[in-house]
Amino acid sequence: MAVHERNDTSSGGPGGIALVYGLALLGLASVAVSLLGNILASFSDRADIGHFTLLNYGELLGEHGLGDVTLRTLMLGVGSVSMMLFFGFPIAWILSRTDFAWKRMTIGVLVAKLAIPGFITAMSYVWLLNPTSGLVNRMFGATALGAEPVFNIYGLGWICLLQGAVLVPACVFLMLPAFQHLDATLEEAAWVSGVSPARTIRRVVLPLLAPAVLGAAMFFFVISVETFDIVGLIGLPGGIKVLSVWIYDAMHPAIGMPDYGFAAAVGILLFLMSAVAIGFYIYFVRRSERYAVVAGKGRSSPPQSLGLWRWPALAFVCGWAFIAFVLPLVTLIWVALVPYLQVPSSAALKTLSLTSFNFALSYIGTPLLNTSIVAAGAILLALTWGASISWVVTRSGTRTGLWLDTAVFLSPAVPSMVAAVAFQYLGIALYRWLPIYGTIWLISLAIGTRLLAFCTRTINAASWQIHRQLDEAAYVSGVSRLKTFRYIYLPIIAPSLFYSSAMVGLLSVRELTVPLIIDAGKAPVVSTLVFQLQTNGNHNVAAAVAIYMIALLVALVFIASRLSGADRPAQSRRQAQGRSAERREPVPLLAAE
Amino acid sequence: MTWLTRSVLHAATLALIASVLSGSGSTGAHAQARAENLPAPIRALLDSARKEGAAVIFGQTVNPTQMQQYSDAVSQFYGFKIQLNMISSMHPVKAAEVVQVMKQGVPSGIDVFWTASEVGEVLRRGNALAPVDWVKETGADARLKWGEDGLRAHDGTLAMVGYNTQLVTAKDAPRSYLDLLNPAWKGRVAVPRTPTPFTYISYYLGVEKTEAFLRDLIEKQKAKILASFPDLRTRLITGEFAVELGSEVFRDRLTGAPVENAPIDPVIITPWASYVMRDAKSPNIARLWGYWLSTPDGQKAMSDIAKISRADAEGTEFWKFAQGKKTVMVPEEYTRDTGRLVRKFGKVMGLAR
Repeated sequence: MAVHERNDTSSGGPGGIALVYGLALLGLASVAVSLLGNILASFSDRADIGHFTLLNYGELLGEHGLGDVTLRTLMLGVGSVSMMLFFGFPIAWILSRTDFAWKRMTIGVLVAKLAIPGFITAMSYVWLLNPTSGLVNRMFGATALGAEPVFNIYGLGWICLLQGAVLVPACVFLMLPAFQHLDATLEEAAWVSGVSPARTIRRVVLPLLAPAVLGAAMFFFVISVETFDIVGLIGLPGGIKVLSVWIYDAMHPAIGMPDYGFAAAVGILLFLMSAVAIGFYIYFVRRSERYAVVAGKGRSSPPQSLGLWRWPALAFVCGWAFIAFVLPLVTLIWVALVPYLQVPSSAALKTLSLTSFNFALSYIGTPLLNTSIVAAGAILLALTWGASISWVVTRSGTRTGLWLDTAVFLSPAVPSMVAAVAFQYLGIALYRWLPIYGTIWLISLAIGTRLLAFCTRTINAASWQIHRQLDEAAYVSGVSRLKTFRYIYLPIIAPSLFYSSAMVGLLSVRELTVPLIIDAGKAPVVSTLVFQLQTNGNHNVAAAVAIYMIALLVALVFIASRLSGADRPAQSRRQAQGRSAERREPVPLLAAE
Repeated sequence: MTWLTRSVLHAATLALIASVLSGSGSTGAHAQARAENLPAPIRALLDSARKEGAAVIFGQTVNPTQMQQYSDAVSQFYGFKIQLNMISSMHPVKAAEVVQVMKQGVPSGIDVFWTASEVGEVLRRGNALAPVDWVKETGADARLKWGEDGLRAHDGTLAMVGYNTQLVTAKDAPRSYLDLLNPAWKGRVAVPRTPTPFTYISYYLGVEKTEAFLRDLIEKQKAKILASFPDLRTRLITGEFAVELGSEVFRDRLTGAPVENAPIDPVIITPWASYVMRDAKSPNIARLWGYWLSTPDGQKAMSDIAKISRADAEGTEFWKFAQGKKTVMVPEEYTRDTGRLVRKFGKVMGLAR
């Protein structure tokens, strides 16, 4: 039904939008749990939250090498984001703006990569490139005693490369909606005026994409400095100290209570670093109007023909896929097939068996059900809150929106473990009225909140490209704000909602820290099952469970894309939605072939 | 239905009932005989435990098959069905959580905490443990009483050394901790990112000697520090490191992995104990579990299922390994107060905290 047919205001005046504000406030409250939890913990004595002290900051400032470690953490963040954008920006471009023939395959690989835990990627590279027994070093005969290795995985550069490569799918999904919304008018105007394609990209396209790319860069900077899996496997043996290692040490004491206080104080330092990055981002966003290109008469460009460039484009995508997906996946399959971890050899080939896949099937039932519930809950929460918050941030025209956005943006800087503990305390505090402590519902709430920043980044980027004139036109025509939200804002940001839901679902499934901390033993999920199997030495069964998960997730994303209509031709979708807008929908990714 | 058919069906039904009765009779008799062999205090708990039916144990990381094996073994021992749910995560973190949770009046959801003395002490100080006199309340062996509220379950092996058999022959395997300082191991030794194994070793070697040993291991031997114990075993198996200090490899050997426990003499052990939670929903099963683990049946089951046991539990994997070697048990009082040593050794390892 067309928008103009719905302009009765009887059912919702301006006050109707209070529902959106209410949902945004709820989202903010949930984010505040981890933010305030971190601040509170940083002023608390070790694990005794509420017993205030400044000792943690004293200890942090007195810590030997604080300056070096902070600088190295900055390098880790900048290096990882640089590598991520090196791969992610061209891939997002290829998928959204060109007639690349292998879009479906690329999307499949991106989705599947999301399901492979970061530590598997790190582990496979350790096997290949460690200086004492790495396969590649062996090939060069460089693993003998006293020999100099050709490659040594234990360096900051490798961590940045791998962390960057691992973040590519999330980065691409975050940027895609904005890339798809990019209006062709300016681009075409530049060409018509005789501006070269390279100059058009530099002077027209890149500035238009700046909020999305910067948003992604800053968001993943925050994630990169906090994440521990690759740092743990490569950085620790390499003696590479970054702030996340200090957090890990504080949370994993050899004896006694974990030191939440010190971990939270380090978290505050991460906050400050993130705040600088976010400040830089906000500087751009405050001038977001200049990036708004989708108005009532705007339109997206048709895909650009790659011509012979399709082969370099394919090689580039394959290069990333090989580094980030193929090697880890082959490793995972290999680990699932052999009885114990071993490098490939003719002797190892004789031990291959499918036994672990049978075991995995018998273990996966209940955890899979719990994981589905957790993921569904997280998607529901993150999307509802995310769409509402993004509307307040990008469409309400109030300054409150900026603060709201900043608070949500800062939330990933809270170390996962500290955030999980904060939610656990929330569960304890609410127990008398709402007994969710230790249940999958609390896990779902915590994960949904952790991933909220991802949703708002994705939705904001798309929303900023929609000019407010569109809303204003609706208001002038007498359409209520709530209806404008429902019938204009939501349909236009629908692709970003789809990508956000896919991402939240996928990231919920592989989230380990939060369920591990919150689960009181009654809510095993797939990631904790994999962790337990791994810890228990059942590497092959753990790998088999992971492979089942990857297969399932890829299948689910494709089913979801079909059900959501993302793979239907654009025109038929428009007809189905009854829209008569002139704006051309971006070419659906999954229908590209 | 004809008379003949009815007769045949009747006969078959009677035969089935008879066989079920005789079977249950034999099981019942077996259980009764077993119950009669149990100490009187444990027998007094059986009826209440039967009503409880299930319990949650925070302890080892087990897979679902192992979990069921524990349930089956303990059920068989007592002659009635006991369903166990075993969970695990980082013990100190969980202990801190449980103390906070119970302070707020929220149920911990755990019946038994099966853990090391240091963690048991955190729980005791946090008033999270039920005061249990295991000898009086269960008739357990008095020698197995561990601290004020615990009953010794199995012996921790964080001070053990493992080696990769493809890289090191049995003849060349280290036989003492100081053997690890042999230049042949330079760059080939891995240790976990915790000073705990060294605090245990210090009970035997002495603090000064252990500190010097650790310093040489890190600085001269360039030992690599890995994030976790599973990581330690994994990288030993793949041959990235020839030797590791911090974990046994009993379970990994079973899979055919090329690893072996180094014959370090003495064997330093640090007992883990069962502690009953103050808010246990199944306090009787909790006691039955603790008692069962301490018995030879429990030790055998643990060894069969998870390759862990006390070093003195005859017939178990660990017992076989300890044969012919001196066993040094780190006392409970020593493990309670190792904070100073953790900081000292942590500094040598370059750990910030």
